[in-house]
Amino acid sequence: MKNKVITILFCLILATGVITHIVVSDKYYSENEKRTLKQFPKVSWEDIRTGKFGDEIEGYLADQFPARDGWVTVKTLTEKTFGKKESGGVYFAKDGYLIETHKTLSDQQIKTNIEALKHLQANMDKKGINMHVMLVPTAGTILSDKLPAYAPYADQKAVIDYAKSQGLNIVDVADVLSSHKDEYIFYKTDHHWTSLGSYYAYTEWMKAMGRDFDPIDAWTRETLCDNFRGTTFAKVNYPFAEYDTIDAYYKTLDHEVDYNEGDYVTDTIYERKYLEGTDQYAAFLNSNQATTVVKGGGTGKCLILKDSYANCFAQFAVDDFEETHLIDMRFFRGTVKKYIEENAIDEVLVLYNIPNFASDMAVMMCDR
Amino acid sequence: MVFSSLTFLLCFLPAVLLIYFAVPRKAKNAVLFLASLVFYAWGEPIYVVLMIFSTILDYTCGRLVEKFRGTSKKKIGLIISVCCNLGLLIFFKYSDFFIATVNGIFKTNIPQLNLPLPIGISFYTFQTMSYTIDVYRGDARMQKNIISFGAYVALFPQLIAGPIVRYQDIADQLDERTHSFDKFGDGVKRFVMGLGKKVLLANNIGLLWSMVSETEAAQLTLVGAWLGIIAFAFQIYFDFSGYSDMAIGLGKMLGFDFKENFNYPYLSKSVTEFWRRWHMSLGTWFRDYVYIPLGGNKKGLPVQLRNIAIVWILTGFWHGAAWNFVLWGIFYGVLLLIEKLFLLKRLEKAPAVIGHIYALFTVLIGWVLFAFDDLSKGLAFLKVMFGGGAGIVNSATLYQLLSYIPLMIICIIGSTPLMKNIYEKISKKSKEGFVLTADVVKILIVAGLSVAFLISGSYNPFLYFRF
Repeated sequence: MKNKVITILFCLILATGVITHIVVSDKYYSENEKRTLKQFPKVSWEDIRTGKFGDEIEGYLADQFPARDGWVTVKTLTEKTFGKKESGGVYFAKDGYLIETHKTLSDQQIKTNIEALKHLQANMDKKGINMHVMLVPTAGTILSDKLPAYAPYADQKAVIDYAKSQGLNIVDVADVLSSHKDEYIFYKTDHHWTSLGSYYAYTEWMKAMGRDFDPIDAWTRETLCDNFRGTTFAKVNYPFAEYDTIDAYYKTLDHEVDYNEGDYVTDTIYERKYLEGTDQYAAFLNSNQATTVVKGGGTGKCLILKDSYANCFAQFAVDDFEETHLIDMRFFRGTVKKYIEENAIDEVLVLYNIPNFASDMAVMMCDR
Repeated sequence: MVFSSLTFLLCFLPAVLLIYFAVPRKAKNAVLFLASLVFYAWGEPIYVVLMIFSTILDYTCGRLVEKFRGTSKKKIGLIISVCCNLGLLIFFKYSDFFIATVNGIFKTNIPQLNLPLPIGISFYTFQTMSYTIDVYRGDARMQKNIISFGAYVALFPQLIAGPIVRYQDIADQLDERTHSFDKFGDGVKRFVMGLGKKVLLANNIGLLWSMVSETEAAQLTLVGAWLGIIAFAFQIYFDFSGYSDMAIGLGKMLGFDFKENFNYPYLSKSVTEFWRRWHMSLGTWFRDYVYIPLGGNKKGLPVQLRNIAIVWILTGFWHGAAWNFVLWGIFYGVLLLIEKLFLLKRLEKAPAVIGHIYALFTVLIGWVLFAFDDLSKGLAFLKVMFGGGAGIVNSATLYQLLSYIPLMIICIIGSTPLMKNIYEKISKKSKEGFVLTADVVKILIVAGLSVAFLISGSYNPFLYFRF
């Protein structure tokens, strides 16, 4: 009798698994993970023969598993209950911070990328164009006292020191960020810095260029949303995570913005349609675009070679220049040097967060 | 395919159970055979040919043995079977090792074959050999039905990582076995607990081991090294015994009774006892088909010592085509010899705690030899364990300690029969309804958590896959 119930229970569990998988239709995109989900693989003899088909089926089943996000929550809660200090590549840090666990960085990629920047800098020097490099330490470095006790975290300041020793014109923002570490300069549930954090870095850049800058009060602060849960939240789907606030800072809302050379032209750097979704940080400069040009009332033309850390950073710079150009090397298919010539750029800034700089293989394309 | 995959749990198992119980008794072995071939082919379809070849070969050898019984050619089937099976195993598993060794000694430059290892070949060649030997010795009757024989060779529950089922243990069940709710229910409980051992304990404690083993020896601390190798000991135990539990559970669902493969090995008080409790089906196999035929302990001490040496070099080598496995086998062979000669008697007189400490200590040292394919890395790790590393503790060690203490405690409890005893005590005293509720809750929690970890984590390697 007892085992009859268990038999039936087990068959019911299996049947539920099978039936829900069949009944629930496949999703194409996961809002939470911000990635496309694997679809049922194409059947080909070659894939079956090599065993690739089997791997793809397993990936498909995992990606399309009913209530996938909920299961990730179950895992996170279990791990946290049993004393784990991290889960899915994220530290459970103090004060509700979820911080990516960058335990090691690729020395090889750092060297390659710095080498490429050295060449670009030499080329700029020849042409009399200013170039600065800003490698931004992430939350684990600046807010290291919030990490779990003894948690390993790669030494990002060593990357800055190495870049300096190689002769790059570095804008070191580690100290200014550290001196403001008690302010809200990093999101709790996302790997980006906040607009405020990027402002402090902006002041260092202005100093390096010998330009004046305004105090933060000179900008109007507007809260774009206060229900932001970003990338580090998505990795753990921790239900007790806090909500972040995204602030915009502007002197004027009107800027002529041109994405991808005429592809999409608009009149503001804030793309508010993203505020309705879960990827609200993308409101800054329309997520990541290959090229962006913002017209402002300032002087000179600057180019920022960047990752997404520059997207909120740029809002402070756009009024200082006549034109602010941004290039995301991951999507840009042109030649940077040519672009600089054609657009009469006179100021270049390379802006990356350090873990991204240490893994991004597109950076070196800037030297083409 | 592995049991702890969604493909198995969501597609293969439901489909096989449905078809298996839908077809009449006569067709059940055919369903098993075909299902097992699909199961096997999932990872490396090409090698399914090898499995079919092995099936036909040993089926024929069994017939030859029977045909020439009592004649001068009586050994012919046996010899073909043993040579072919060992030949297959040696060719696919050890070719590159031998080539590298020859190249090393004679400074030659023979190219490596780089063949992928057919999954489970170490297990199924041993099983098919056991069939011909059993028939030859008269321990089992020849199997006339090639489908039933194929079902034995390819039987998916124990195909990939054992237990190694001797033909004589299962011969009757192949032709005649009963299916009942009672057996199926027991099988479910066993399977789910095995899944939990693998996915929840082995995989997670394995993360600690990979953290430690990926650290350069120069940066590893004494406590860190011990913590790491203890984690590995738990990982390999819960991985392998969890797999055996799943195999035994699935077997029960399908009406089979496989023999136990583990009996709380970390409770041993000597190395001799450890090997009676660890991977028992392999020990039994070597005892029945190597040690005893060589004369066992019946031909005086020198022959017995020789036999122990042979068995343990082979045991080590069976685990992998690398010198560290040979060394690991020799390590155990020497310890077992020493115990046989005098140590065991002294250990029996000493307080139990001394035996426990001695056994755990030697087993952990053994795991170091086992875990590092690269001998120099293994020796460097051993050096760290005895004070030759970066001090006693550092922040990395403390982080690992703090993160894994609760899981370590669960693993310690899980390596003892404590929970099982408590469960049995309570269930004797309680009403059936209460026990049933407890079982249902246990199954739901363990299965639910396992699914959660399977879906979230891509970290799902099987340790015994490479053997």
